[in-house]
Amino acid sequence: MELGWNIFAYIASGAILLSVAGAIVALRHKERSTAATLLSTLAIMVMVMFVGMLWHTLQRPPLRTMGETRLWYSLFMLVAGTVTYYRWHYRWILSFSTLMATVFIVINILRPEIHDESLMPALQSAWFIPHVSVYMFSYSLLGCATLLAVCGIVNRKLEVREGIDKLLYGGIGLFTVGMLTGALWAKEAWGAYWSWDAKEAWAAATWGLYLLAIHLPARSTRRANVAYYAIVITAFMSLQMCWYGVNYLPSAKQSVHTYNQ
Amino acid sequence: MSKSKHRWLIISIVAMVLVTIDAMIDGVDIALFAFPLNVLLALLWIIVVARLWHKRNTTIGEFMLSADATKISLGLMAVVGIVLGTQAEPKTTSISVITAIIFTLTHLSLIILRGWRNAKGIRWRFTFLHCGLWLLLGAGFWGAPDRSVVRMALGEGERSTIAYTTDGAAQELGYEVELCNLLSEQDGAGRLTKIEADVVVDGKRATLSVNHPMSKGVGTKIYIVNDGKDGYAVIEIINEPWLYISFIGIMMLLVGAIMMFAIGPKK
Repeated sequence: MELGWNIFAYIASGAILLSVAGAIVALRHKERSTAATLLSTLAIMVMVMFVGMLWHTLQRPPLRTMGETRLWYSLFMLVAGTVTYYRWHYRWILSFSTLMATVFIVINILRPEIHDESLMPALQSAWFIPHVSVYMFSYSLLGCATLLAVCGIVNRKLEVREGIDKLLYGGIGLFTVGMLTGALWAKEAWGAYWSWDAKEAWAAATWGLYLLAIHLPARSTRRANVAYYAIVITAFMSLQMCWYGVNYLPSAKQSVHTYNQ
Repeated sequence: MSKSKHRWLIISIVAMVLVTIDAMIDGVDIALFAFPLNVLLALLWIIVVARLWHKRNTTIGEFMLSADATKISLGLMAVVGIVLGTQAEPKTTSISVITAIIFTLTHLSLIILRGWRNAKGIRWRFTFLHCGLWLLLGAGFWGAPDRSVVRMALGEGERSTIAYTTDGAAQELGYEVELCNLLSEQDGAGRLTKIEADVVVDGKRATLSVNHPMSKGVGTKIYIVNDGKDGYAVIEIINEPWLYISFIGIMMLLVGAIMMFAIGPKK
């Protein structure tokens, strides 16, 4: 029996259970909990094990379809949440990262994508894994920053600006690396670093919005903070357009970045 | 009316005028600005930037170095991305897009100069990020008119010295391209899995495939761009003399981005 998407529901459920347990332990401790970090790390290891098995079964890196990118996204959400918890001790961050990872896992369980065994020629490149991996990791960090921004809007007393800034610098740094490795790859594959293809245009929009957020001076007024949170949330919506929303636009018909057709 | 409101009113009027112009015309034919005109215009722009830097205490100088100008530059990048990302045929040469790029480049130039002037030591991250973007954006913008793309279709054993532009105009290459062998493989569903073309270009043998173009001379790369199912290889020859400046810009920006991730925000 081949080990792949057919056992995903069972393995992912185990990972979710471990992550939920880690989130509960974290919520119950005011200081950083070793048990919470350990449980979250175990959840990550379970997901990594599945990715490894899927990789082996498919005989190629599982980085091609929307389902596979959601798999990486759920994995990196857990990683980003655990790293953030370990580094900055936000005891509620594990709950949010678990929730977001669960959403993507559930989507993958309910709507599994059909996977090809072979990659199309454009994807047969050494740039493929670093390009998509750093994007996935940046999406996770930027997703966490968005959650903090939502918290900042909902709860006036929460001081989240510093935490968001840290996540944004990490996320934008990786997003930039993703864009640039994509540009280098595009030059080899299609002859231009940047061609304002629909996906590239949305990536530029996302980049511009995130840069706008980190260039806003830190002010203590509620109005300034809300504007900052609003830009972070808008940038994340733009990121969703860049990631998969663009596939539903008429402009995607001309896109060289549509790999599933 | 306050100075800030006055400023935003002028910006809004300029934006509306640009959008109106774009609604009336198709866009700028950038081929008209090919070398040496683009280099002359770039030099002229550098003089304007130097003049603005010299006059940085005037109203326009202060504005171009202000936080508002940064917000406008980055906001424009986002707006341009959203607009182009929703257009079926992106109008990358519209007056609005060109104005946005010139504004951003001008602001970026002044910010770099101020950053260096005020720095106590070498600001590596600032320099890599801002100069990298300046080179990348500048080479992409000023070098765009010099970029040329021509194609030729060859069957196995065929050779030619003539390629065709996207408008269908014939162009003498000055060297010969020969297709020796073409390999095209598909999976069971008819999807392309492999395409390889053995070619001889100007006496030099190479194998072209997706992600593996052939380099020829300064700024020229040769690609295979079709699936080869019909027995023909479509060879694309792209000449981009400003390629190396863009590459340096990308490398600088990459280093800056990694530093951004590693260091995080500075207090």
